[in-house]
Amino acid sequence: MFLRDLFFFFFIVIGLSSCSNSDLCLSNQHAVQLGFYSARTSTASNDKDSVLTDVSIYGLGKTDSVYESKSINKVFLPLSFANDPDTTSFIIRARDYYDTISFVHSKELDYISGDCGYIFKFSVDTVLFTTLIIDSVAIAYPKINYGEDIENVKVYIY
Amino acid sequence: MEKILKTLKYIFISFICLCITYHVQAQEQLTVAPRRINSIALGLDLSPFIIKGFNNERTGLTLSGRYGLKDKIFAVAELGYENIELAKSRIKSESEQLLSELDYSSNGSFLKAGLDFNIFKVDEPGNNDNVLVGVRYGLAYQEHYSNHFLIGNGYWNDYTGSSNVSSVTSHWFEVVFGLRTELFRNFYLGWGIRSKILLLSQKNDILIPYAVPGMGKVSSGMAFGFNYSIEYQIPFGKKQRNELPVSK
Repeated sequence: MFLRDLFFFFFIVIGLSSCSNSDLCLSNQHAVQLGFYSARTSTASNDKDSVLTDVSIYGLGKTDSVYESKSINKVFLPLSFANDPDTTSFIIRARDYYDTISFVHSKELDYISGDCGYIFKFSVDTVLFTTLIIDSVAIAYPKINYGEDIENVKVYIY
Repeated sequence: MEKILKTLKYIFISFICLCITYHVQAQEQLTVAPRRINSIALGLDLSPFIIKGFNNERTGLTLSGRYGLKDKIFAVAELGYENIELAKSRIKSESEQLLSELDYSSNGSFLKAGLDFNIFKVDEPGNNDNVLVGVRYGLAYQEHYSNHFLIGNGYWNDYTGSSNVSSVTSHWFEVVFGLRTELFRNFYLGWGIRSKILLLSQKNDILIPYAVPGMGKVSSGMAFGFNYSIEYQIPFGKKQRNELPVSK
Protein backbone atom coordinates (compact mmCIF):
# COMPACT_ATOMS: atom_id res chain seq x y z
CA MET A 1 0.00 0.00 0.00
CA PHE A 2 2.97 2.28 0.68
CA LEU A 3 3.96 2.40 -2.98
CA ARG A 4 0.41 2.97 -4.15
CA ASP A 5 0.10 5.97 -1.80
CA LEU A 6 3.27 7.36 -3.30
CA PHE A 7 1.76 7.03 -6.77
CA PHE A 8 -1.01 9.39 -5.64
CA PHE A 9 1.58 11.79 -4.23
CA PHE A 10 3.39 11.71 -7.56
CA PHE A 11 0.34 12.92 -9.46
CA ILE A 12 0.02 15.87 -7.07
CA VAL A 13 3.68 16.79 -7.68
CA ILE A 14 3.24 16.55 -11.45
CA GLY A 15 0.07 18.63 -11.27
CA LEU A 16 1.90 21.38 -9.41
CA SER A 17 4.95 21.26 -11.68
CA SER A 18 2.78 21.71 -14.76
CA CYS A 19 1.77 25.15 -13.48
CA SER A 20 5.21 26.68 -14.12
CA ASN A 21 5.36 30.01 -15.94
CA SER A 22 6.97 30.51 -19.32
CA ASP A 23 10.05 32.70 -19.72
CA LEU A 24 9.81 36.36 -18.81
CA CYS A 25 10.51 38.32 -22.00
CA LEU A 26 11.80 41.89 -22.16
CA SER A 27 10.61 44.41 -24.73
CA ASN A 28 12.08 47.55 -26.33
CA GLN A 29 15.58 46.05 -26.20
CA HIS A 30 16.70 47.75 -29.42
CA ALA A 31 16.71 51.31 -28.10
CA VAL A 32 19.78 53.44 -27.53
CA GLN A 33 19.73 55.02 -24.09
CA LEU A 34 20.64 58.75 -23.91
CA GLY A 35 21.29 60.78 -20.79
CA PHE A 36 21.23 64.60 -20.86
CA TYR A 37 23.86 66.58 -18.99
CA SER A 38 24.67 70.23 -18.56
CA ALA A 39 27.64 71.31 -20.67
CA ARG A 40 28.17 74.35 -18.42
CA THR A 41 28.28 72.64 -15.03
CA SER A 42 29.66 69.22 -15.91
CA THR A 43 33.37 68.59 -15.50
CA ALA A 44 35.56 65.84 -16.92
CA SER A 45 35.15 63.82 -13.73
CA ASN A 46 31.64 64.83 -12.68
CA ASP A 47 28.63 64.95 -15.02
CA LYS A 48 25.66 67.02 -13.88
CA ASP A 49 22.20 65.88 -14.96
CA SER A 50 20.15 68.32 -16.91
CA VAL A 51 16.40 68.21 -17.50
CA LEU A 52 15.14 69.32 -20.88
CA THR A 53 11.63 70.75 -20.71
CA ASP A 54 8.93 70.74 -23.39
CA VAL A 55 10.89 68.36 -25.58
CA SER A 56 9.60 66.38 -28.54
CA ILE A 57 11.63 63.77 -30.41
CA TYR A 58 10.78 62.47 -33.89
CA GLY A 59 12.41 59.95 -36.14
CA LEU A 60 13.75 61.60 -39.28
CA GLY A 61 11.04 61.30 -41.93
CA LYS A 62 8.41 60.23 -39.42
CA THR A 63 5.36 62.19 -38.33
CA ASP A 64 4.65 60.32 -35.09
CA SER A 65 6.86 61.14 -32.14
CA VAL A 66 8.85 59.02 -29.74
CA TYR A 67 8.42 61.68 -27.03
CA GLU A 68 5.91 64.57 -27.18
CA SER A 69 6.24 67.72 -25.02
CA LYS A 70 7.96 65.96 -22.15
CA SER A 71 10.40 67.00 -19.48
CA ILE A 72 13.22 64.52 -19.75
CA ASN A 73 16.74 63.81 -18.60
CA LYS A 74 16.91 60.31 -20.09
CA VAL A 75 15.42 58.91 -23.31
CA PHE A 76 15.24 55.57 -25.12
CA LEU A 77 15.39 55.93 -28.91
CA PRO A 78 14.54 52.85 -30.99
CA LEU A 79 17.09 51.97 -33.68
CA SER A 80 16.09 50.94 -37.18
CA PHE A 81 16.38 47.32 -38.35
CA ALA A 82 16.55 48.30 -42.04
CA ASN A 83 20.20 47.96 -43.06
CA ASP A 84 23.50 46.87 -41.65
CA PRO A 85 25.36 49.09 -41.03
CA ASP A 86 22.65 51.71 -40.81
CA THR A 87 22.07 55.22 -39.57
CA THR A 88 19.04 56.06 -37.46
CA SER A 89 18.33 59.79 -37.12
CA PHE A 90 16.09 61.73 -34.75
CA ILE A 91 15.05 65.36 -34.51
CA ILE A 92 15.08 66.79 -31.01
CA ARG A 93 12.87 69.83 -30.61
CA ALA A 94 13.12 71.88 -27.43
CA ARG A 95 10.75 74.84 -27.60
CA ASP A 96 11.76 76.56 -30.86
CA TYR A 97 15.16 74.93 -31.27
CA TYR A 98 15.83 71.85 -33.34
CA ASP A 99 18.79 69.52 -33.44
CA THR A 100 19.34 66.34 -35.42
CA ILE A 101 21.16 63.45 -33.81
CA SER A 102 22.17 60.40 -35.88
CA PHE A 103 23.44 57.04 -34.69
CA VAL A 104 25.61 54.99 -37.03
CA HIS A 105 25.24 51.44 -35.85
CA SER A 106 25.79 47.81 -36.75
CA LYS A 107 23.59 44.96 -35.64
CA GLU A 108 23.77 41.25 -35.03
CA LEU A 109 20.91 38.77 -34.90
CA ASP A 110 20.57 36.86 -31.64
CA TYR A 111 18.14 34.33 -30.28
CA ILE A 112 16.72 34.47 -26.77
CA SER A 113 14.33 31.54 -26.40
CA GLY A 114 11.29 29.85 -27.87
CA ASP A 115 9.07 32.09 -25.77
CA CYS A 116 10.89 35.39 -26.46
CA GLY A 117 12.10 34.75 -30.01
CA TYR A 118 14.86 36.62 -31.84
CA ILE A 119 16.33 40.04 -31.11
CA PHE A 120 19.02 42.31 -32.55
CA LYS A 121 22.10 43.28 -30.61
CA PHE A 122 23.45 46.69 -31.65
CA SER A 123 26.74 48.47 -31.50
CA VAL A 124 26.76 52.28 -31.79
CA ASP A 125 29.81 53.19 -33.82
CA THR A 126 29.43 56.94 -34.34
CA VAL A 127 27.08 59.72 -33.23
CA LEU A 128 26.55 62.71 -35.53
CA PHE A 129 24.68 65.81 -34.39
CA THR A 130 23.88 69.46 -35.00
CA THR A 131 24.64 72.02 -32.32
CA LEU A 132 21.72 74.33 -31.57
CA ILE A 133 20.80 72.57 -28.32
CA ILE A 134 23.55 69.98 -28.16
CA ASP A 135 27.03 71.02 -27.16
CA SER A 136 28.74 67.65 -27.48
CA VAL A 137 28.17 63.90 -27.13
CA ALA A 138 30.16 60.99 -25.75
CA ILE A 139 29.60 57.28 -26.34
CA ALA A 140 29.68 55.86 -22.84
CA TYR A 141 28.81 52.25 -23.71
CA PRO A 142 28.45 51.31 -27.39
CA LYS A 143 26.74 47.91 -26.94
CA ILE A 144 22.99 47.52 -26.79
CA ASN A 145 22.40 44.04 -25.49
CA TYR A 146 19.26 42.23 -24.40
CA GLY A 147 18.65 42.56 -20.68
CA GLU A 148 21.16 45.34 -20.09
CA ASP A 149 20.06 48.73 -18.77
CA ILE A 150 23.13 50.88 -19.37
CA GLU A 151 23.35 54.44 -20.64
CA ASN A 152 24.91 54.38 -24.10
CA VAL A 153 25.34 58.02 -25.03
CA LYS A 154 25.87 61.15 -22.91
CA VAL A 155 24.44 64.28 -24.52
CA TYR A 156 25.75 67.57 -23.18
CA ILE A 157 23.38 70.49 -23.74
CA TYR A 158 23.89 74.21 -23.55
CA MET B 1 -12.53 -15.20 39.31
CA GLU B 2 -13.67 -12.50 36.96
CA LYS B 3 -10.06 -11.43 36.48
CA ILE B 4 -9.02 -14.98 35.56
CA LEU B 5 -11.86 -15.21 33.05
CA LYS B 6 -10.80 -11.95 31.43
CA THR B 7 -7.22 -13.18 31.18
CA LEU B 8 -8.31 -16.48 29.63
CA LYS B 9 -10.56 -14.59 27.21
CA TYR B 10 -7.63 -12.36 26.19
CA ILE B 11 -5.33 -15.36 25.71
CA PHE B 12 -7.98 -17.16 23.64
CA ILE B 13 -8.59 -14.16 21.35
CA SER B 14 -4.86 -13.63 20.95
CA PHE B 15 -4.38 -17.28 20.08
CA ILE B 16 -7.16 -17.13 17.46
CA CYS B 17 -5.64 -13.95 15.92
CA LEU B 18 -2.20 -15.53 15.89
CA CYS B 19 -3.55 -18.63 14.17
CA ILE B 20 -5.34 -16.55 11.52
CA THR B 21 -2.24 -14.45 10.88
CA TYR B 22 -0.03 -17.53 10.62
CA HIS B 23 -2.52 -19.22 8.32
CA VAL B 24 -2.66 -16.20 5.97
CA GLN B 25 1.12 -15.89 5.94
CA ALA B 26 1.48 -19.59 5.22
CA GLN B 27 -1.01 -19.30 2.37
CA GLU B 28 0.85 -16.34 0.92
CA GLN B 29 4.14 -18.17 1.17
CA LEU B 30 2.74 -21.24 -0.47
CA THR B 31 1.23 -19.33 -3.41
CA VAL B 32 4.21 -17.10 -4.11
CA ALA B 33 6.25 -17.86 -7.17
CA PRO B 34 10.02 -17.61 -6.89
CA ARG B 35 11.52 -14.36 -8.12
CA ARG B 36 13.88 -14.36 -11.00
CA ILE B 37 17.22 -12.73 -10.44
CA ASN B 38 17.83 -12.02 -14.11
CA SER B 39 15.08 -10.33 -16.00
CA ILE B 40 14.41 -8.20 -19.04
CA ALA B 41 11.58 -5.69 -19.00
CA LEU B 42 10.35 -3.66 -21.95
CA GLY B 43 8.50 -0.48 -21.20
CA LEU B 44 6.61 2.45 -22.61
CA ASP B 45 6.86 5.89 -21.02
CA LEU B 46 3.44 7.50 -20.78
CA SER B 47 4.77 10.94 -19.80
CA PRO B 48 5.01 12.26 -23.40
CA PHE B 49 1.29 11.57 -23.76
CA ILE B 50 0.62 13.33 -20.43
CA ILE B 51 2.76 16.32 -21.53
CA LYS B 52 0.85 16.41 -24.81
CA GLY B 53 -2.33 16.90 -22.77
CA PHE B 54 -1.25 20.30 -21.47
CA ASN B 55 1.42 21.23 -24.04
CA ASN B 56 0.22 20.48 -27.55
CA GLU B 57 3.50 21.70 -29.06
CA ARG B 58 5.48 18.59 -28.09
CA THR B 59 4.94 15.08 -29.44
CA GLY B 60 7.16 12.24 -28.32
CA LEU B 61 7.59 8.56 -27.71
CA THR B 62 9.94 6.81 -25.31
CA LEU B 63 10.63 3.09 -25.06
CA SER B 64 12.76 1.54 -22.37
CA GLY B 65 14.57 -1.69 -21.66
CA ARG B 66 15.57 -2.88 -18.22
CA TYR B 67 17.91 -5.76 -17.48
CA GLY B 68 18.33 -7.10 -13.96
CA LEU B 69 22.06 -7.43 -13.45
CA LYS B 70 21.70 -8.52 -9.84
CA ASP B 71 18.81 -8.69 -7.44
CA LYS B 72 19.12 -4.98 -6.61
CA ILE B 73 20.75 -3.52 -9.72
CA PHE B 74 19.22 -2.89 -13.14
CA ALA B 75 20.88 -1.74 -16.34
CA VAL B 76 18.48 0.63 -18.12
CA ALA B 77 18.37 1.98 -21.65
CA GLU B 78 15.81 4.42 -23.01
CA LEU B 79 15.25 5.35 -26.63
CA GLY B 80 12.89 7.92 -28.01
CA TYR B 81 12.12 10.82 -30.27
CA GLU B 82 10.45 14.18 -29.92
CA ASN B 83 8.88 16.54 -32.43
CA ILE B 84 8.18 20.17 -31.55
CA GLU B 85 5.97 22.50 -33.55
CA LEU B 86 5.88 25.90 -31.94
CA ALA B 87 4.01 29.07 -32.98
CA LYS B 88 4.44 31.94 -30.51
CA SER B 89 3.60 35.60 -30.71
CA ARG B 90 3.84 38.35 -28.12
CA ILE B 91 1.76 41.52 -28.17
CA LYS B 92 2.21 44.59 -25.99
CA SER B 93 -1.05 44.73 -24.10
CA GLU B 94 -1.55 48.51 -23.86
CA SER B 95 -0.76 49.37 -27.50
CA GLU B 96 -1.42 45.98 -29.16
CA GLN B 97 1.99 46.35 -30.77
CA LEU B 98 3.44 43.10 -32.09
CA LEU B 99 6.62 42.41 -30.10
CA SER B 100 7.69 39.11 -31.62
CA GLU B 101 6.57 36.11 -33.60
CA LEU B 102 8.27 32.75 -33.87
CA ASP B 103 7.41 29.59 -35.78
CA TYR B 104 9.79 26.86 -34.70
CA SER B 105 10.15 23.19 -35.65
CA SER B 106 12.40 20.52 -34.21
CA ASN B 107 12.82 16.80 -34.79
CA GLY B 108 15.19 14.73 -32.73
CA SER B 109 16.03 11.41 -31.16
CA PHE B 110 17.73 10.46 -27.95
CA LEU B 111 19.35 7.58 -26.16
CA LYS B 112 19.85 7.22 -22.43
CA ALA B 113 21.79 4.55 -20.61
CA GLY B 114 22.38 4.03 -16.94
CA LEU B 115 21.77 2.04 -13.80
CA ASP B 116 18.94 1.80 -11.29
CA PHE B 117 19.54 0.63 -7.74
CA ASN B 118 16.65 -0.86 -5.80
CA ILE B 119 16.85 0.46 -2.25
CA PHE B 120 13.56 -1.08 -1.12
CA LYS B 121 14.25 -3.69 1.55
CA VAL B 122 11.31 -6.02 1.86
CA ASP B 123 11.11 -9.39 3.58
CA GLU B 124 7.73 -10.25 2.14
CA PRO B 125 8.19 -13.01 -0.44
CA GLY B 126 6.65 -12.23 -3.79
CA ASN B 127 6.77 -8.47 -3.27
CA ASN B 128 8.56 -7.27 -6.38
CA ASP B 129 8.04 -3.56 -5.73
CA ASN B 130 11.09 -1.34 -6.14
CA VAL B 131 12.21 2.00 -4.81
CA LEU B 132 14.78 3.06 -7.36
CA VAL B 133 17.66 5.50 -7.29
CA GLY B 134 19.50 5.74 -10.56
CA VAL B 135 21.75 7.62 -12.89
CA ARG B 136 21.60 8.14 -16.64
CA TYR B 137 23.82 9.51 -19.36
CA GLY B 138 21.78 11.06 -22.15
CA LEU B 139 22.65 11.84 -25.74
CA ALA B 140 20.32 13.62 -28.16
CA TYR B 141 20.57 14.73 -31.76
CA GLN B 142 18.02 17.12 -33.20
CA GLU B 143 17.51 19.26 -36.27
CA HIS B 144 15.58 22.48 -35.88
CA TYR B 145 14.74 25.68 -37.74
CA SER B 146 12.43 28.64 -37.81
CA ASN B 147 10.58 29.16 -41.08
CA HIS B 148 9.29 32.54 -39.88
CA PHE B 149 10.18 34.97 -37.17
CA LEU B 150 9.41 38.61 -36.57
CA ILE B 151 11.14 41.17 -34.38
CA GLY B 152 8.78 44.01 -33.57
CA ASN B 153 10.27 47.50 -33.54
CA GLY B 154 7.37 49.59 -32.38
CA TYR B 155 8.56 52.70 -34.20
CA TRP B 156 10.50 51.80 -37.33
CA ASN B 157 9.71 48.86 -39.58
CA ASP B 158 9.57 45.38 -38.06
CA TYR B 159 12.05 42.73 -39.19
CA THR B 160 10.98 39.36 -40.54
CA GLY B 161 13.25 36.46 -41.36
CA SER B 162 13.77 32.72 -41.27
CA SER B 163 16.58 30.39 -40.33
CA ASN B 164 18.01 27.39 -42.09
CA VAL B 165 17.93 23.89 -40.67
CA SER B 166 20.69 23.43 -38.11
CA SER B 167 21.65 20.55 -35.86
CA VAL B 168 22.28 20.29 -32.15
CA THR B 169 23.92 17.47 -30.23
CA SER B 170 23.31 17.50 -26.50
CA HIS B 171 24.89 15.46 -23.72
CA TRP B 172 23.50 15.41 -20.21
CA PHE B 173 23.51 13.57 -16.90
CA GLU B 174 20.44 12.57 -14.93
CA VAL B 175 19.72 11.52 -11.37
CA VAL B 176 16.55 9.48 -11.06
CA PHE B 177 14.34 8.66 -8.11
CA GLY B 178 11.34 6.47 -8.71
CA LEU B 179 9.00 3.73 -7.67
CA ARG B 180 8.04 0.61 -9.54
CA THR B 181 5.32 -1.77 -8.49
CA GLU B 182 4.08 -5.04 -9.92
CA LEU B 183 0.40 -4.55 -10.68
CA PHE B 184 -0.17 -7.95 -12.19
CA ARG B 185 2.19 -10.82 -12.69
CA ASN B 186 5.12 -9.47 -14.78
CA PHE B 187 3.32 -6.15 -15.46
CA TYR B 188 4.87 -3.18 -13.73
CA LEU B 189 3.83 0.43 -13.32
CA GLY B 190 6.49 2.91 -12.38
CA TRP B 191 7.12 6.61 -12.02
CA GLY B 192 10.20 8.64 -11.50
CA ILE B 193 11.30 12.22 -11.04
CA ARG B 194 14.50 13.32 -12.68
CA SER B 195 17.00 16.07 -12.24
CA LYS B 196 19.12 16.71 -15.34
CA ILE B 197 22.30 18.66 -15.91
CA LEU B 198 23.36 19.66 -19.42
CA LEU B 199 27.00 18.69 -19.91
CA LEU B 200 27.59 19.80 -23.48
CA SER B 201 25.55 21.29 -26.30
CA GLN B 202 27.15 21.42 -29.74
CA LYS B 203 25.27 23.66 -32.17
CA ASN B 204 26.13 25.44 -35.38
CA ASP B 205 23.58 28.25 -35.24
CA ILE B 206 22.37 30.88 -32.79
CA LEU B 207 19.07 29.02 -32.49
CA ILE B 208 18.72 27.35 -29.09
CA PRO B 209 16.56 24.23 -28.77
CA TYR B 210 13.14 24.97 -27.32
CA ALA B 211 13.43 21.56 -25.69
CA VAL B 212 16.09 18.88 -25.99
CA PRO B 213 14.59 15.47 -26.87
CA GLY B 214 14.69 13.31 -23.75
CA MET B 215 15.84 16.18 -21.57
CA GLY B 216 13.06 18.73 -21.94
CA LYS B 217 13.15 22.50 -21.54
CA VAL B 218 16.55 23.55 -20.29
CA SER B 219 16.95 26.56 -18.03
CA SER B 220 20.41 27.62 -16.82
CA GLY B 221 21.78 24.23 -17.86
CA MET B 222 19.25 22.35 -15.72
CA ALA B 223 16.03 20.54 -16.41
CA PHE B 224 13.55 18.58 -14.37
CA GLY B 225 11.30 15.88 -15.62
CA PHE B 226 9.22 12.89 -14.79
CA ASN B 227 8.37 9.57 -16.32
CA TYR B 228 5.38 7.33 -15.85
CA SER B 229 6.00 3.93 -17.36
CA ILE B 230 4.34 0.63 -17.92
CA GLU B 231 6.64 -2.35 -18.29
CA TYR B 232 6.32 -6.00 -19.14
CA GLN B 233 8.93 -8.23 -17.62
CA ILE B 234 9.89 -11.14 -19.80
CA PRO B 235 10.37 -14.07 -17.44
CA PHE B 236 13.65 -15.85 -17.99
CA GLY B 237 16.89 -16.57 -16.19
CA LYS B 238 17.86 -18.03 -12.87
CA LYS B 239 15.32 -18.25 -10.06
CA GLN B 240 16.09 -16.78 -6.69
CA ARG B 241 17.01 -19.25 -3.94
CA ASN B 242 15.39 -19.75 -0.53
CA GLU B 243 11.82 -19.36 -1.62
CA LEU B 244 9.16 -21.94 -1.58
CA PRO B 245 7.88 -23.46 -4.81
CA VAL B 246 4.43 -22.71 -6.11
CA SER B 247 1.72 -24.85 -4.59
CA LYS B 248 -0.93 -26.14 -6.96
